[in-house]
Amino acid sequence: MYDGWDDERLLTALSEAMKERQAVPSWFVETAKNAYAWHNIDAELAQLTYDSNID
Amino acid sequence: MMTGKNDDAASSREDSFLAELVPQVAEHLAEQHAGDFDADAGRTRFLTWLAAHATELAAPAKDPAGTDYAKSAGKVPDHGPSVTAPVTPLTRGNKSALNDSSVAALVTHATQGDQDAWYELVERYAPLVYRICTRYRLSSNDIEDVEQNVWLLLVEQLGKLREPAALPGWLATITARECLRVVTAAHKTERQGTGLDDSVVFVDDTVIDQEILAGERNAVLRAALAELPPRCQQLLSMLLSDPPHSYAEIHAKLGIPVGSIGPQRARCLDRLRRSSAFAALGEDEIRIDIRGGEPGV
Repeated sequence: MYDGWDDERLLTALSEAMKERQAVPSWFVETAKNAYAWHNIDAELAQLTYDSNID
Repeated sequence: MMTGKNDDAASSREDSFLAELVPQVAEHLAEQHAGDFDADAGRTRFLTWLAAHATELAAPAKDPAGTDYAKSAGKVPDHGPSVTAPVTPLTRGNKSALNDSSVAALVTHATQGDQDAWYELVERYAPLVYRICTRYRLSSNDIEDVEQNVWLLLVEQLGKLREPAALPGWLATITARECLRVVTAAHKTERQGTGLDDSVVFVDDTVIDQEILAGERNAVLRAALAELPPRCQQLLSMLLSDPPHSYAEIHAKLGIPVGSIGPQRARCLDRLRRSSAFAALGEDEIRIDIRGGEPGV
């Protein structure tokens, strides 16, 4: 459905996409990125549980 | 490796973090082992692990926009310097070696511990989460609470998503739910306090559906743009800037003859249409419609 977009329409859509990204404050993105720290912690805790199990 | 020993602030942060976390971990481990658990050995093992990660955990959260991060600093450990690079979606050179950049592939990689895949997911969908928050007209503090919950839930559910390709819909649903929770709580407090009954923002499901479609389309377009050669990215971002640069400025900056700018623009847009991200656009939209009730996890 987007194949039929002419150049002008595509550029308008691209412009909107860029504006949407620019509207997001940097702290918002940082907070989201930092949440991944919990993934590592969860994974290592799982390992910890496993290790304790075989003691 | 306790590098914070010489730093009182870091030490006290570690202490309070520990005081909060250790009992939680002990409880978690005891639950897992249903009584058959050596609490002391488990605690020692955890403290050893924690010591090995002290630097990472104790690093103060970055404060790029003057926001008060104190409350989240104790909640979400920062990665330290690795995440402080400015976010420039068009020119970032640190794209991970992901051959398949589809949503499902990114989710799989992130589940397996690929931090770059997570960052890419954030790059793509943070704007969607943000635009839904703004629909509910939340304050910055409330937005931060909402997004904190949304991303932590996603981290938790990464490996359990029933349909990873439907992530945008999942994120939007969770975000809307969290926003509604905040709005409703505020409304209740307000009514108890003053008896006033106004200013509650309820956002219709169809509006959220439109936001999902727009957010997904925009994410795909940005991903497609990022797939283009740097030359095309530079040209298009100059043309797309607001206000757009003139052909004379583009010639001065990029050295492209004015007469070639039009044809090059057309070639870059054709390339964009043929990019793998763009090709995924139609497919993803069909799968977005998972809303209604609890999102599938």
